[in-house]
Amino acid sequence: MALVRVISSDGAAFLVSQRLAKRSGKLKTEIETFRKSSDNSEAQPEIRIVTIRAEILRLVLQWLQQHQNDPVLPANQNEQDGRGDAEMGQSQWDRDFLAPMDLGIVMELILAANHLEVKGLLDITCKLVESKITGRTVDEIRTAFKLKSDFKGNEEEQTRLENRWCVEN
Amino acid sequence: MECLNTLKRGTPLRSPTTTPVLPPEIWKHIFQFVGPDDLLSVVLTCPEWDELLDGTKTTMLLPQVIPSLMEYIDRNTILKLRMITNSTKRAVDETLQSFYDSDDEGPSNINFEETSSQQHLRKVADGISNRYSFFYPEFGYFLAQLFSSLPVLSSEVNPFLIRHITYVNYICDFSSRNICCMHRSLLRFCHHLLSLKCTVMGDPRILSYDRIVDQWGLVPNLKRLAITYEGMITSQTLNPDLPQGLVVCNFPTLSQLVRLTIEFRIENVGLSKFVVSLVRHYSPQLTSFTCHATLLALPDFTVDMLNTKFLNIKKFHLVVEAPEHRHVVTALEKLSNVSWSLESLRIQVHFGDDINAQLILSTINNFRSSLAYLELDCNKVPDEPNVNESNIYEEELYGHMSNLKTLVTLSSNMKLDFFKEFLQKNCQNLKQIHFKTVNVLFTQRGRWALEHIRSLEKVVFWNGGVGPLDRRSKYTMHRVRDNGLNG
Repeated sequence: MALVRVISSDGAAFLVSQRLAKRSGKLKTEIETFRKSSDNSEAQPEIRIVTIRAEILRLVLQWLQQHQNDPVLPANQNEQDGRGDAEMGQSQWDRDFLAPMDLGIVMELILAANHLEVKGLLDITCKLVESKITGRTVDEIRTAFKLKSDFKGNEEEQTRLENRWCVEN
Repeated sequence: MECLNTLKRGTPLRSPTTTPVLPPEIWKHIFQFVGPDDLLSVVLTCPEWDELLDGTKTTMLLPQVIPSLMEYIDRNTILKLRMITNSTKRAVDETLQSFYDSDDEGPSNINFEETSSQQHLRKVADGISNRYSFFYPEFGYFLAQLFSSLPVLSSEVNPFLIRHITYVNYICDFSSRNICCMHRSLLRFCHHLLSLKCTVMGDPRILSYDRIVDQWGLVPNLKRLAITYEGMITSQTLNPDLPQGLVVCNFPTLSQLVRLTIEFRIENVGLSKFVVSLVRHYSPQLTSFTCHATLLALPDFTVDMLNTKFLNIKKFHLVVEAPEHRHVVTALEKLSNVSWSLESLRIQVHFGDDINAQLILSTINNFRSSLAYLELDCNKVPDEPNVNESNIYEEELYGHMSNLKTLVTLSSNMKLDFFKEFLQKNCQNLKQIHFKTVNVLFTQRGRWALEHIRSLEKVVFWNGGVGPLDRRSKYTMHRVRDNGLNG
């Protein structure tokens, strides 16, 4: 079985099968680039991901492993194909996977899934964060994400006016 | 002693590779001085620091995940995110703007690679950009309110979520106070705009063209200009065979302008003169130009003039909207003789089925070496007998197009022998074909294309050729390994 070494920003190396790694668009491209540039076709590719730390990379690989037999969800999947986002939805495994994570970890996973081009993981993590935003007031969102308003003078009033003009009725 | 000897001069001195140990409180103190972008690197460095900064992590991450997140939330919630902090506001605005602009990066207004969630975001961006329009009577009032709420000298604040505005030259519904405020606001904020749709209304014989172009001078950073005409067709009939001549207009310098779209048929005396003058004036700086066949057919546009004026043109889009066979023939004849190195060509016929294949082929052939994207949105391209009769034509009209990677057309064209021949002879570097229609024979046609074009990676059929893209379904065929096909 062909393997690939994926190394996190903090230097932890994960040895995974290339078949599994290729389910990430980014890793697939990297493996192919390595193949083209390497003379030895047996050489084991090594990919360094400088923006993702070990803990998060492990979660991404864990998710990929669980979903390795799902039909490949291309980035340009259209919902009307019948295999779209809605149906792919969250399995019980996904719910258990996300349950122990705090918001910060989920957000790091969004960045990682986006960077590694893992559409299915991006979908479930974004939907989780979306649920913390939709239907809440601005203050509630600030509390949930530990943010403080930094608007000065009439910046807030200006934003309110701009929003009021653009709102969908 | 030995150690000292091995340390040569000039060798950089390094700290030990183990992490220097400082008490957590001191690290926390140091992190207060680190900017938000670097703080994320701190979180990513080691688990201890991540833990130390847990309180601020979500704060830092929210603006960064917003671009991904926006594809999953509705318009009003997206707007709400602008109210949280300055950095979330900036993240939302930048995402919307880059998304709206990316529309113009692609050769076609349809980006075929968009996911359904990106299509959602496109709808949001379009919906918001539509609000910045003088067609809404209250728009002037909105600008006036904004104007009065912002302190003096804050013109660097950009009040447009999307840097696009629709302007109408002729506004009768506003009270004079609103018009006044509107102009003051425009003067103060218009340098933020990159894209302008100018809707010309009124009787073309008495329109004040100078006043229209004066408004463009308020938008010095304009990159894209589209002009539409919504008004009466005068009884004065235009003779399209005569040169229209020029009107003297004081066109402002728009040094950033690269894209010009003329969205109407040329059928008005007066207006046609204006458009001819306008196109002549800005043509040397344009990389992208869209017009109707009626405009290109005017005698003012000789092949010579097209060559000497359009020096930088890369993308050309020809629209045919009415039965105007004569104009189409004239326009295509000119196109097949210009010396442009076009990268993208779109021929879009909304009406009529009388474009002859030979003319289409010789037009395409003229851009054979440079063309990367070709869209033939013609309902029927009839198989002209003379294409097949004469071998001389065949040799001249078919030829390898080494750069052509994407072809968009209608699947009915696959019925035509000349079109299949074109695919086989010209398109051997093609990567993808998009058919804007699906019919019962589609798998057969897709299979044919994959078998006959070795370089082809995928064939996409778009269902319901007329509906908006986001409500269409599509069917993609990929090449699997060498010969296998997969739906």
